[in-house]
Order: sequence, then structure tokens, then C-alpha cells
Amino acid sequence: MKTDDLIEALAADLPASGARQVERRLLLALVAGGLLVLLGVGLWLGFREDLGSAMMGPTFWIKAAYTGTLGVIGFWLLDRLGRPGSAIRAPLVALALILVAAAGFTAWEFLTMAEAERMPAVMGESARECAPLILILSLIAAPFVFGAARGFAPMRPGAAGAAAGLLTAGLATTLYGLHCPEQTASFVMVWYSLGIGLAAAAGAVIGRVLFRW
Amino acid sequence: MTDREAQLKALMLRGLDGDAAAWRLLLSDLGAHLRPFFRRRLFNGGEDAEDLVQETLIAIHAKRATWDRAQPFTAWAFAIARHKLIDHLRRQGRRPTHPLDEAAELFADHTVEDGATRADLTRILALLPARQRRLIEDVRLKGLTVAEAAANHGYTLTAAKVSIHRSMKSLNARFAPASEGAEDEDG
Repeated sequence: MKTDDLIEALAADLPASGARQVERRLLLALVAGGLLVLLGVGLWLGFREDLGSAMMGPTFWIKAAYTGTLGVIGFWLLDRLGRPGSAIRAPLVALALILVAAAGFTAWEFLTMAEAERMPAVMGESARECAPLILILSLIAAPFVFGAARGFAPMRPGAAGAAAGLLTAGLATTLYGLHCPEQTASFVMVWYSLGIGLAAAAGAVIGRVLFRW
Repeated sequence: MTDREAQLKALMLRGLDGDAAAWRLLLSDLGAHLRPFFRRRLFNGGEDAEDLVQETLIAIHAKRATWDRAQPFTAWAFAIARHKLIDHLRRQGRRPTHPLDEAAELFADHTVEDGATRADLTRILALLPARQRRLIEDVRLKGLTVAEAAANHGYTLTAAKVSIHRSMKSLNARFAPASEGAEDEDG
């Protein structure tokens, strides 16, 4: 095909494209995926029994802030990685800051604890199932997120996949907090982070295949 | 450069609103810049250059929503062209030999000289047409004799000498302000 003919063909198929179109689709996908995860948490895992009183205290919200912020940074990273020529420094710095802050807070909690309490604080009641459940919930939201993210044009499909995984897991894990009654920073830092990290790694693998263009 | 940025950006914005005439103009303009850009960077004399031009135009069309209106248009378009080029080279199992980090390089008018501040060798040689460049590389970098290089590239000995002389002269002319004392590089 001659290049001039190609240009004619492309110009003939030119629906108007609004500003931030890809992001708006991604946000819609997050709402849809989030609702499905919420349904999964409610019907399958069940909300934590003390949900009402937990929502009155700070711990519930600190957990949600940690996982929610990771999700927001995942969105930010994905948005930057998905636009050719955009810099990803700012979201990377934000990611490093939140991880350092969370690790610092956890270390402080851990070290000020009596030694006998430390192991139970890390292991909680649900150490074994935490990361797998986060992965399963992420899997429920993943088709929505990754489907919408295909509209981007990442130079590094693997990195963009990891960002999409971080976004997905941040969303899923925040909703998982409605089920999981664990209260210590040590537990969240180890097992929540593990689940989210595994989801991001899986996202990198998926992105390598799915985000080619 | 700034003019071109403003001009292309205006076309892009109209294209995003569905203006087919502006889009046709933009893609033709980009195509005309991409063609020599790819040709200079491909080892096979640019046989694949036209394919790459088309691939890049298709990508620019398909991914136009990923351009952030607050971002320079040329930087975005250049990043896509570079991505397509690197993808192509990788498929061939080769690494790009030219540093590819300046949007200005793609969109600058190539007769306008921007000084020799970034005068590393590959970049300088990249300014030459492909045939001349390969001759220079053989003689000046690989250490072949002029006769050998001429035979490799189907030049007669005299034509090769003339070509090398012209290349060096034009490079010297381009980079004269920064390379005082190096004018007599070629005899």
C-alpha cells in the first residue's frame, strides 16, 4: 500500500477524540471492576463482623490509605508509562516515599512492641490466606483494568503491566480491607505488600504480551 | 523548531476533533520527516524505511488519544517513531547504533545547523546520506583502504575518493565553529 493511500484511509476513519479519553475509560473500568470485587468480598468472603466499629477507628482507614495510595500511584505510573515521551520520575518518587513511610511506621510499631507480641503481630490470624486472596480479588478486577489500559501506548509494556497490576491490586486490596480484620501495621506491611507485589509482578508478565502495539 | 511545534500541534488538535483535512496534512508532513529519519538509521539502505513510516503513521493514528495536550506534540511523535525503530531493530536482532534522544533532531530542518555541541561521532556521521556514510565508516572507522571500500559499495575508486572528500568537507563545514584546527582532516 502506498503511503499516500494509507494516509487517505486513516483520515477517512477519524472519530473525534476527547481530552483524557483513555483515562476516562480506565476510570470507568475501575468502577466496574471495583463493584465486582466488592460483590466478591461481600458474597464470598463476607465483611468483617466488626466493620461498623472498625470504621470508627483510625486503623481501618490507615490500612485503606496505604493500599489506596498504592493504587493511585499505580494509576499515575500507568498513565505516564502509557504516554510516549512522558517522564515517570514523579510517580516513582511517590512510590518510594510511600513505601519508606510505611516501612518506617511498621518498624516503629514492631520495635516498640514487647518481644512476645511481635511474631503474633506479623502472622495475625490470616497470614497464609492473605496474599492468595488479594491475588484472586485482583484477578477479578484485572480484565477491566488491563482491557482499558490497552488504549495506552507504553514504550515499556512490562513496566506498564506492573503499574496496571499495582493499580488493580491497590483497588482489590482496599476492598479486601472490608473483610480482613487484621489490625497491625506489621501484618499489613508484610502480607498485604506481598499480595500487591505479586499482583504487580503478574501484571508485568501480562503487560509484556497484552500491551504490545 | 518552535514554529514547527506550534504548526504541528495545531494540526494535531484539529485532527483530534475529527478534521480529516488537517489530519491528512499532519500525517503527510510527519511522513516526509520520518522517511529520511528512518532511512539514515537503517543498515539496508532504507528498504524498510517506507514500512516503518507507515507503521509509525498507523501508530500515531491509532494512539492519538495518548497525546497529552499539555505535552509537546513533537516529543510525543518522536517517541513513537523511536519506539517503532527500536522495535524494528530488535526484531532484526540488532541494537541501534545511534543515540536517539532528541526530538529536535527529527523535526529540525536538516539544513539548519545547530552547532557541534553534541558532536559525537555517530551522530555526526548520521547526518550523511546512507551511501556516503557507509563509505566513510569503512575507510575512517574500520580501516579499509579506499579501494576496498569502493568495491564494497559499488563505487569506482575515483568516485569513492570524491564522495569521501565531499563528506568530510560537508561535515567540516557543518561543524567548523567547534572544530577549529581540524579542517585539514581530509586531503
